[in-house]
Amino acid sequence: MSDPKPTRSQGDLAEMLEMLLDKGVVVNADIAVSVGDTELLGIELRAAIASFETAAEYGLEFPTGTDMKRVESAADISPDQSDPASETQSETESTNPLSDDSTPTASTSTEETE
Amino acid sequence: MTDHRPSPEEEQTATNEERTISDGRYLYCVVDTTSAEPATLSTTGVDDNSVYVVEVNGVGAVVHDCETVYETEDLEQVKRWLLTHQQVVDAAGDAFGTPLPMRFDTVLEGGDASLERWLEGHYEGIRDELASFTGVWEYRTNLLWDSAPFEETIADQDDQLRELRQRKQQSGAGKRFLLEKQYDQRLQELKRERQTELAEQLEEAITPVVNNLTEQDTNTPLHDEHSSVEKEQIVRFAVLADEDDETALGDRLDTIVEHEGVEIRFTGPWPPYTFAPDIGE
Repeated sequence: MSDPKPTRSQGDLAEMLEMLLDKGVVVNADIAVSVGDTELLGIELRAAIASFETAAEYGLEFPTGTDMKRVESAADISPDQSDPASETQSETESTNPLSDDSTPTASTSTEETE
Repeated sequence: MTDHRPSPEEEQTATNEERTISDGRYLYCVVDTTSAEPATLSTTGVDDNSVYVVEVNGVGAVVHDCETVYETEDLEQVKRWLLTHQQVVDAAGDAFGTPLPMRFDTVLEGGDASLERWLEGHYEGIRDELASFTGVWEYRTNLLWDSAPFEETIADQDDQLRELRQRKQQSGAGKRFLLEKQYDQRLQELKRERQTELAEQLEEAITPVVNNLTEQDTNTPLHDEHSSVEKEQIVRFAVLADEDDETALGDRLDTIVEHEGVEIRFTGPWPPYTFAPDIGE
């Protein structure tokens, strides 16, 4: 590690998830609506993210409709590293043994809405 | 989470109906507005809502108007919400200094008036907390370890391992199996010792430059996406540090990275999510 500066990238999604759902100030007040439901929401969101993380790790296919540009930016992959032609691929592309990183290689239909 | 679960569709419909809120305020964070005008915060929040600040005597609640809590099983939606939520908190931090960050999906009912009453009710406590976090941020350090180089070295250095290996070479198949097991056990033991050592070294190295340190569970779905080598997560710390000590903290982390196979992921500055207290009760 040559640069000792901390990083803040969208690749920190898992960390962000933990902080936003498990940490952070809980407001205990009569007017607070969502407090009772936060736990349930957390479980649902966590399940969703867990599958995202697993998929990213093993290079599995993402659910149909997944915006891969967002996934890639969330995983902190610069566009030139990733496959530019991320068109619909039905086949699950597992990890390329020659690749020098564990880039999620799966692709599904990509909508560029940003 | 127990027993029967309705189908996602049923659940979605049910929850959406139940949770319609009148005059809701989605609360991102609370900030100190004494040094900057609340109007300086101009950003778009979760679901494209405009974000604004409700202020009471130098304490501001960063909010947007909402009619529902945020709930979905759509992964993309989740990510968008989390990222946007954090962007708003970051913008608030830039404008007003270290914020008190709320947990995701904190919604208060009753409009601005209700929110103002809530701020007034907890005014002293909130002011004290904001003051205590001034100029201080959360940083996260994640110690990852590729044990291969260590295993290679220790295989030659450890007497027991050397002996077991020699005996293995001279044994028949049955005995060899047993010796292999013993070899593996010894190796695992040495690896565990090394891991403990590394975790202790990290803690010792950073403790002098942080105000607070807490160990985080390593059983999170957090994987190293940046490396092809399979690295094990050894220990994670959330620390609270003065922004002026950020470089010193980074330099100290660098001394740990000099060990073979060690990588440290260092993220921040974050609002003090892990260290901020709950409000009320």
